[in-house]
Amino acid sequence: MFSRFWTSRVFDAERRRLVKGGLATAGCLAFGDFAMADSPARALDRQNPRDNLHAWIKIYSDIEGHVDIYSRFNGNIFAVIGDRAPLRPLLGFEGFAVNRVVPQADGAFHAFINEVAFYKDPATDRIIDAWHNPFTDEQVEVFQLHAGPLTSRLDTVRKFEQPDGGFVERPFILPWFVLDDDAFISIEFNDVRDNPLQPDEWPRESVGEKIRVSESMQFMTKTSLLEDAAVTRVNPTMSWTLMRSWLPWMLMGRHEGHLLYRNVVQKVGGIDEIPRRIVDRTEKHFPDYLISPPDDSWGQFQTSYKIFKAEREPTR
Amino acid sequence: MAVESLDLATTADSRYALAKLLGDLSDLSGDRRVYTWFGGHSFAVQGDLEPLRLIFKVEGVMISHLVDGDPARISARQLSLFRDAETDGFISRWRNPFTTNLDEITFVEQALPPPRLSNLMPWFVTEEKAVAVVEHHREGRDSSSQQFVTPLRELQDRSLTSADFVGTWQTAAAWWPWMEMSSMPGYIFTRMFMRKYRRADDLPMSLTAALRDRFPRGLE
Repeated sequence: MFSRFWTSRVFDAERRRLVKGGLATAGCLAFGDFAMADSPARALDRQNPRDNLHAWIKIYSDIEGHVDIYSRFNGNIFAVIGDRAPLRPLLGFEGFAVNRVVPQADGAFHAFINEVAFYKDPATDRIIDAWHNPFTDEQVEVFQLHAGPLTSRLDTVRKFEQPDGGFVERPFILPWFVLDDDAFISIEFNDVRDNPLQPDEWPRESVGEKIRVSESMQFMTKTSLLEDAAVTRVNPTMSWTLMRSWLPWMLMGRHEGHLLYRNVVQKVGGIDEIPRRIVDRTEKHFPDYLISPPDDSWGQFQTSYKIFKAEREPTR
Repeated sequence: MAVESLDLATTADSRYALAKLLGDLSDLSGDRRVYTWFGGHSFAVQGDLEPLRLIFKVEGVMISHLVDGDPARISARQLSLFRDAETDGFISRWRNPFTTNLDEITFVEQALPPPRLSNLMPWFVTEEKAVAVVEHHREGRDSSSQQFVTPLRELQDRSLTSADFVGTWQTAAAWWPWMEMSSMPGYIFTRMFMRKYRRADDLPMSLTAALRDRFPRGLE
């Protein structure tokens, strides 16, 4: 879910695609802070790529690196059918992401990410392993989300793929909106891309040759904390909104409609602040995802789609 | 600081907390307003596989208060302005990319449904913060979800009659009538940030000036 995030000004989002090597990740947000010392604050130059990169690392992870940083999230998934019908709540969705950044000699950072989430009955809030699909009146087996290793390089320059296959480089500048001490940052990704599950092979899981993935991560934090050199990380709160095609395990085929996720995300102090039932379930089914991926996973990018394709067989 | 236990699983404490966010519990006459700045981006959503299309930016204020000072009755209305997606300037006319018409924007004060906590996930609570989720999903593609983020201690402190917040807001709504989209398929998805102000005079000056130009009743 937090698998691939491209920070870009929203205006750029529809025209350019930031390729791997840019920004990939998850997030967090506001009011609190961690390490504090009596080091003087330095103004944050929001036009300076280096300052932007360091601010982003403090928001997303920890500027000193080498430590696992957890974000927990909880929310709901709605079905969107046509243009007039009310949104229909389908599922609850709860999980966490863990990341670790490793500072590089050239000033960039390498990020290592794992993500886990479980689908829930919205009425009972219980994790489910089977779901009654109200559109097909069929019982389907849930495929709990686990994605990773997801690795990416965070640098002061981002690379954008161009329609002709070439690349253009742009300085890494976050889309800031600041009111007094409150800083608001939206990370957007908006794309239609080839479906890893093509319909000829996956007729029931696939929505078609293409899938739509549109994500918005809205971070809220404090500029004073970002400016304080003694603060190595902030703990923002964030809203994560995802508009995407049906999930493969729903077996919706080419049924009309799509999904809208509404989630609240909070960066927390450690795994002990992740709800116990989520940790227990992860320990049982996906123990490797309790911590960030190891250094030797660098270069891997295992999305939930890739993992689904590797672990499931097409339903006939 | 009069910190007492706060159980957001109970109706009474949930109502108390929401009233502190969108109103002021010391306001027994219902005269005191809370001004929530909002600003963000609107996208056209067409079909299930088309990429979202940025159409304009929005900025405005939601004005809320406790009706007759009753914490159980919150009233809210919304004043919305539009900004050009490229130049960022406030606009009164909009070049419709679907029809190519130049549409005259109609500025209408909107009464919002009484804010109600989500029945799916009313609160998201961590060690330091509480997030209230207020939402509705109605016929005609009228969906709204607001997430109000506040320090937990401000809700727990019973000596405080109002709690500050920042937040986020997402809506899925039918085309605006002034867009004259006729039977054009699609709807508008908007995502915004929010911030609470206790006085209208504290809102961003560029916003208040633009609001006064377009809404005669203004921020009363």
